[in-house]
Amino acid sequence: MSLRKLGLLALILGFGLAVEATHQARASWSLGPAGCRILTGRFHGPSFDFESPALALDLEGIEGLEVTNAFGHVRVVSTDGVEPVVVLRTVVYRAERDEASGFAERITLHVEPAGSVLRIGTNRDALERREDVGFETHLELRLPEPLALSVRNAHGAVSVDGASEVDVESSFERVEVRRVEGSVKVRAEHSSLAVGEVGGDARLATRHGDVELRSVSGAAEVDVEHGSATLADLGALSLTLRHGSVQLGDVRGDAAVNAEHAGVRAARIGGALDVRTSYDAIVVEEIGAGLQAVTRHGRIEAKGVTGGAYAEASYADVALEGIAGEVEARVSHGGLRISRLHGGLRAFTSGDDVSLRGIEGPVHVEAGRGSVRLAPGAPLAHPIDVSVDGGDVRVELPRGSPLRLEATAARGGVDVSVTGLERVESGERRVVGHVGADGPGVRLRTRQGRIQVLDAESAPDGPATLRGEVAIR
Amino acid sequence: MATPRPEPETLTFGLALVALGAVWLAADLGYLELVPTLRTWWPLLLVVWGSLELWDTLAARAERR
Repeated sequence: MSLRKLGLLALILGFGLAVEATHQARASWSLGPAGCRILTGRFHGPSFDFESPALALDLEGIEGLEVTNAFGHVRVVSTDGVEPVVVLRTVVYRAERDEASGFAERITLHVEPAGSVLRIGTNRDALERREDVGFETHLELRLPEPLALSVRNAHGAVSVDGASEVDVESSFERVEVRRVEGSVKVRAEHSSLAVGEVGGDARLATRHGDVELRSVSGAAEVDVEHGSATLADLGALSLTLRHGSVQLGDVRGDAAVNAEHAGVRAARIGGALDVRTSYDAIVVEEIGAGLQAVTRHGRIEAKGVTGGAYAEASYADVALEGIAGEVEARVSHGGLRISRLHGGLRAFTSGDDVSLRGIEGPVHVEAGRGSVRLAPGAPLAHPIDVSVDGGDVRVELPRGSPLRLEATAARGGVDVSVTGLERVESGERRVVGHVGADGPGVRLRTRQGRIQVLDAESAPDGPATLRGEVAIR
Repeated sequence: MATPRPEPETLTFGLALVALGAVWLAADLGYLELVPTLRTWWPLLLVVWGSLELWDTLAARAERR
């Protein structure tokens, strides 16, 4: 054979090999919006659905069901009057229908009583061990009465509508549970959860999925990572959440939220609310007992707290309105705005201005850089102690407030214009005096700035008690 | 002087180029898919070449007689 013939043979065979390789590569590679990736696994390509006849369940003496499945949905519905059955629907990934049908015929239901529990599953494990065929098994159970349910599923959705109590473990698909007489427990990964109408307690945990929980008579314990939580109408709440957001409403008892990198909004909490988060805001209103709110790198807004409040924030403002009890506020690198406070205030701030309006009770303010403006709104009955490092102090007093005033500006000036003030000491930087015989002490100090004390009615912008409402955004 | 017959490999190479160009053009025009078509029909080149070799051998033997 000549060299020319050998060369041509090599050329043709090389061409054929290249074409074959290209064809094989095209079947297992994908180049698209998600990038270049290798398609592997058994669950792609043509697939065919098959449904087996409903299998009647004997529930005599059975109190609970244990359902085990994978790569398919589990759906349980309890409805009065229906015959108890389980239906298996399969999806087989094969190129030809006949081939898929032959495989589907070998997928069978396993129903096995174990004491008062009925175990329901398929022969999936045995088939998977022997053959490399992708197939889905979807189970649907219809029950005449609510039973205790335990569901173990993977790579499939779970839906329960009506049960005496529920325990679910699942992954990679949504879990929905509703109408449960007792407690609910759900653990999932890469799954969103939607749970509602629970007669007992609820314990939910998920990673990489959202949680929606409504209408729980008992307490709720929720753990979420990389997801948002929407929670409403609960007996009480303990929530842990990282990297997401929290929307909370209508909790009858206490609520505790321990979050990271999450914004928290809460409203209508019957008991005490304890919120801790970071890198986002806390916005709350209508709290029935005390409020504890701590955020790093985020703002706090609170409106309508029946008890006391502790608010700690950094790199953003704190705004409080309508607090019945005592307030302690700590703000670094942010401002403080408070209106309608009835139980006194201890505030420690730095970085921005402090505005206090309609304040009742003793007031103690220590401010770093930033001005302090205080308008009590009613005749003074408790002492006021304001200390500022770098900023002005302005106090607007209701006419007729008895007081003992001591105002000192180390490197500024003091301007006092209060009706009925009898001065004991009156200098450019220090004024001491009193209105009435035995009023509460008003002690004002600033290291760098001016101090101004005047009647609220003569303030350029009018009485302060009509302004300063906190707007919940 | 008789014109020498073209050699089978030359014919095969020429036919292969014509076929490849035609298939490629048809694929570009949307009449067929290039890779599946080539994958199905490329062994035809071996069949054609083999047939031409047989025909050339038989023709040469006939000329010698």
